[in-house]
Amino acid sequence: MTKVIGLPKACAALMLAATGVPGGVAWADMQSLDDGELSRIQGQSGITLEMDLQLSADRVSYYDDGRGAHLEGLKVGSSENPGQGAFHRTRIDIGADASLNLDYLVEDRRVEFSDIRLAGAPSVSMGGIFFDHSLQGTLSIREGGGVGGSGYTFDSAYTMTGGRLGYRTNGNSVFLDDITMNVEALGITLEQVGDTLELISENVTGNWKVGAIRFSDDPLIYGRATDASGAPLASYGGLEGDYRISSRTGIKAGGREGQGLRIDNETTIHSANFLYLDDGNALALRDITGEYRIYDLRIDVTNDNQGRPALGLTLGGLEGELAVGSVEVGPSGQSFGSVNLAFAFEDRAFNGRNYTNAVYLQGGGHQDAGAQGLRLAAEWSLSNADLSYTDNGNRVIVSGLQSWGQGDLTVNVTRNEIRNGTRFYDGLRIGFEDLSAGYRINGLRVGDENAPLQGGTELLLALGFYPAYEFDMDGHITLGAGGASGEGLTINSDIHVRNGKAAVVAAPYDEGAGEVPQKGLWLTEMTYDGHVRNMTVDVTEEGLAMATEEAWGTMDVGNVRVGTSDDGASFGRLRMQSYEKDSSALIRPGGAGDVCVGGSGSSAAACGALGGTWETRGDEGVSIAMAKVLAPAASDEKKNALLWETNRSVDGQGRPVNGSGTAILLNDIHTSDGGDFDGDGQDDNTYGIRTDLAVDVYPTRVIRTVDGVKRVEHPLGFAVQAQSSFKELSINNIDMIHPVGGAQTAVYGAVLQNVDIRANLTATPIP
Amino acid sequence: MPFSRRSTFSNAVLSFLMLGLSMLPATATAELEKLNDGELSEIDGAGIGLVLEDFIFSHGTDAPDVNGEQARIFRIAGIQSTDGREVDITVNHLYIAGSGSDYGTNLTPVNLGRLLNPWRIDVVDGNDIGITNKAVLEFAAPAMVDAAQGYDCLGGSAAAGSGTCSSRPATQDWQGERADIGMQMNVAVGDDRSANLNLHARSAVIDGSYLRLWGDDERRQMAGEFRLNFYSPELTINACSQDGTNCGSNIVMSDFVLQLALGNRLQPIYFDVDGSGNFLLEIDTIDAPGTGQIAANGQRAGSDAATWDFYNDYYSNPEFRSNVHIGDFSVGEKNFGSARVEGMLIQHLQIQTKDLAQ
Amino acid sequence: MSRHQLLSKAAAIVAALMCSPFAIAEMAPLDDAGMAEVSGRGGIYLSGDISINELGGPIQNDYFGRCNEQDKKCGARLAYQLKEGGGWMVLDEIRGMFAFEGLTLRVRSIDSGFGGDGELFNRDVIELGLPDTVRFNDVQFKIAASNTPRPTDPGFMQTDIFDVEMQGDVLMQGNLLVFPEGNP
Repeated sequence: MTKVIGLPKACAALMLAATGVPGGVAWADMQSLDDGELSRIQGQSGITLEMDLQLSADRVSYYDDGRGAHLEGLKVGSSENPGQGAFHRTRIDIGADASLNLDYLVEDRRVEFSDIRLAGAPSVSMGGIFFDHSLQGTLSIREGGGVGGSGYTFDSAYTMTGGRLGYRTNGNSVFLDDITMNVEALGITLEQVGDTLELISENVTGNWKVGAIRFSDDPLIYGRATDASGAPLASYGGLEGDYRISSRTGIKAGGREGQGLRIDNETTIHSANFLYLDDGNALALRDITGEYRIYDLRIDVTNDNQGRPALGLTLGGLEGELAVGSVEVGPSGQSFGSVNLAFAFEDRAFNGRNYTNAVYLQGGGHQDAGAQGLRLAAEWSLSNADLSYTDNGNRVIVSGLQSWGQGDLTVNVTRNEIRNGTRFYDGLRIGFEDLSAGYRINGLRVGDENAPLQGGTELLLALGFYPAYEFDMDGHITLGAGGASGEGLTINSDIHVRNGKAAVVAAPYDEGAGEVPQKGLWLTEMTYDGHVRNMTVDVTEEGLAMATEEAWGTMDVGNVRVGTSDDGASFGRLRMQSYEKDSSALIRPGGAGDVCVGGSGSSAAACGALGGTWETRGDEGVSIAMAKVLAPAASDEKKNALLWETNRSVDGQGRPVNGSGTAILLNDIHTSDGGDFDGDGQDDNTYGIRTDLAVDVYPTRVIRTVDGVKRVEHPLGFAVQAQSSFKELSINNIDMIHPVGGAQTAVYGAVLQNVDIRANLTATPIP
Repeated sequence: MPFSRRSTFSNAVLSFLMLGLSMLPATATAELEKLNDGELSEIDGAGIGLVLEDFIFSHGTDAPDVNGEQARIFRIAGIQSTDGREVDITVNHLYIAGSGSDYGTNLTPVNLGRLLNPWRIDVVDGNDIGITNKAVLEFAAPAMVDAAQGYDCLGGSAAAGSGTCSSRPATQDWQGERADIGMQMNVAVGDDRSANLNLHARSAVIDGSYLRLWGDDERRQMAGEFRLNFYSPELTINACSQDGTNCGSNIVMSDFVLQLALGNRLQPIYFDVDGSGNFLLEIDTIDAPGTGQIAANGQRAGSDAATWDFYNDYYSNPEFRSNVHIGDFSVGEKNFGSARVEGMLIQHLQIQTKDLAQ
Repeated sequence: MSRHQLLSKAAAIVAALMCSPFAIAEMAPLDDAGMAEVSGRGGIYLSGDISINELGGPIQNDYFGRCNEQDKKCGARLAYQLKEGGGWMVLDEIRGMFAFEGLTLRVRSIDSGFGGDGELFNRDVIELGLPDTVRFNDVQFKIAASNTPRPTDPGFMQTDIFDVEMQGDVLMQGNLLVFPEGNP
């Protein structure tokens, strides 16, 4: 016979589950209690229940306004011995204060379901999940303790070992392997305040570790860390972390429409650390602190704005601040510096359109990848964010970052194959379909948030970001397991951008007197096709190492405009093609250190004596070493080339037509080592263009003329020490192209040899 | 094993000129120019516009200090005279600045190019400039304008409507777009440092100058057309040393006009290097326009019309011709009056550097 | 866009930043009156030094070497060919260091000044402000012509025409304004 315990307690357990304590706790307690007879327990010193649990259900459903969401193929049993039950032991007693105390042990349990499906779209599924774990812990529940004196108080502590959490679509899986976790959450209170269930956790501490994140493309390898031969499955690397947080969560009935759920939450991260481990080398985010507030998050089973059945998560707002005290790589923990992000997601209008924050979860993923997968119809509105970087105490703030967008993201676990006509690669595939998005930055501030807004966002170009960018995008990035050696990432991607508008130089969009069209140098009517094959990313002892087997792309800029992106005058069309083979990069912490700018010398005295300026830029900062190998043309698509076209004729709407004007083409630009030294009949090409950059935030000495008087100032800016060298860079030919007469070669080759350029440049915003 | 050889001084002078021309693609916009007479308005596209605002450039060579150190050095070397001595040109001063610089002693800012008529880099449609069905890369100084709007190229008047130059002379209110340009040199041949050569141009204008480059598919070679218009109310040449002593006679050319046409659409200029590493500059004999007789009396009547028109255009088109005008030519105290060389047409030109070793 | 492409782009941009002082070597700087016309506050201000082959380039062979090897060339070399099968124009032995303070880049709206042209122009331009002075240190290059692009090619012959050497402070004042003209 089963006696149901009081609903509030069951609810409380569920609440615990919902607030970050793993679902395993909830399951464990419910199962245990279901089998017990509470009234018989009372007054005894305690009882111990043992059982082997094996359970299955074809479907568990949730209905919201008549729309169903189903978990299908639910099974609970042993992870090590499929088909058998998982061992559970629970010791229950009642304390002198009438608290209910549970000691529990769960061994090798697997909870899994094969599909998550929405009733409205029965032919597709979001994929399956499995969760393995062994647990040992305690849970104590007593009445009272809430803010109003009523409600319940919980103390929970547990250790999880042998954990494994996997996501599986179409027979391929990605899973977190060898998870261990310790959690202690004391004095959690649950109370009903008005129509809201209020859950308050003043102090939750824990640590956790993921031994490896593994990938399997073999449907027969399911929930195992080894392949058929017994070798470990390829790994993305491991994760590790610890935290101390407190949070307050309110839960109400009622979705965005009709039934559903509303959640509000405030969380403070008192301390946390996060490490990514690749063959034992760590990329560490240390001394993380922050807080955030989620308000009016609603969960509905509903339809998205295109009428597709979906599990909808819609957000009223999310705002907060996150600080990472130190970003480190390498055995000695050398630091890049610290990072701080303040953000606010809320409804806002961009370009005359209102954007909100919502995710609509749907089944299916990429349509050619199979019936299982995840599709997220997303919309976001980042109304404001400030991102700052601090290097040896010198802080630069990227101010007024805004972002908006709408479109579909798809998530599939895929394998190397052509399926239904689409090329897939091994790994976790994140697809973009009709994603229409944008972002912009208002300017820089140096020192603190109250410093005046300055220009200089174009410096972000050096980090690969346009100061402002709007685009429509399709494509995918597939993250494969295993790096250049051992653990790591292997990336394949194909990206297609349409209707791009990117700023190379941009003035603020708001200088305090309201929003204005951003003036600048713009790349508009832009399309971009980019392809990356087998790019590995590894954390090594030196830093973050990347190596790309092959990458090619074409950026076709319809107009390069000066002024605003819509009606600035145009320089004409610019088409840039790139084709690289075996290029590589290494990013490591630490900048230039001590530098003699404008002179030479290895000490302050020697440097000054030769007219230079001695700068001690500290031990933090960023260093990047790159080798770009520009490959000789392999086809019209795979080559390095630059085309400038002007004098185009216009179509019916007055837009210039590409290909109708006159153009100059720098064709087949490539590097070489300057000869065929290995005797294979082709020039060697391994050196490429090698660039070493060391970037620091530093108070630079500059001389400015103000009112005719020269004066020395020390504004904060980016200090870049750079060295770039190549053995040989060639242009095969330069053609002049006429729409009727075709291409005529004007230069039959250009060869630039033996170049080594070094620079010490400091870039500061114009005050 | 590679070896390098040196050309003779005389050849070097030629090659200097040629190189200057041939290097233009490499040095991009820096030196540009050339111009024509009003036809530029046919070109509807102009690509990139460039204006230099408040510009001053100055470099040179300082006299050695007590330790023999020189703070600034600007030297051109590596040339040999015909008798094998090293030639070393020390540039004592090179400047580009506002007019009124007093031969480079008082440098003030100047604008080069106007926002409404800037220097330009563009890829233009050859059909608009007589180079059929070819795309043409053009580097151009500010175009000439209609005489109703322009300014006297020699600066006789700062009033609009006084001439065809777009660049304005300096006035009390505006620094103008005409630069003083000068170069003071000491030419040393071997140990002989006695030769000085100083050039100063006041309020110079190069409006209407251009360089056009395109590909000649038949010759498989780059072809070009270069026009240099150079106007200055006063061009001075003297032999003063850097400290102003040892002056020879001052040569002053007032109202100096150079309209130089090197190559044209019928006879482009070609640049090449021969198999032994010497420069070759060539303006080929004009290609005959296919079959077609010219009447014995040279009249159009009786001639093949197309052929006659072709030659008539070739011989009468002012765009193809070079001119030099000097309003007043004086050497020291002596005045030689004005000089004019008009309508020079280059029918064939081949310049080649020769090596001493040959 | 992948991380790597971002990096590549970063490299390109830094290269562009490094090279831009050359591209505009002959141009101009900015003055205070000019500043007042700026509507936006965008833009960057670059200071520092750039050197080319100060110690030599990356090639080590019979021809190229470090700058302390007396019998080797240590500068950079550019060769280009204007006729198919023809010889090569050469810019050889390119070396030197440039130091400057205050090279600026920004977008500027012009609607006044310029002797009356500004008001009629009334558009935006890209403004490269030249530093007042650029300190040249052992800047040199050589003009030459050769029969093959690489000095290591069989039968290589080269005629050196002349070489240029510059040293010390070079006055470069003003702004280079760049803007679209005519039909795009």
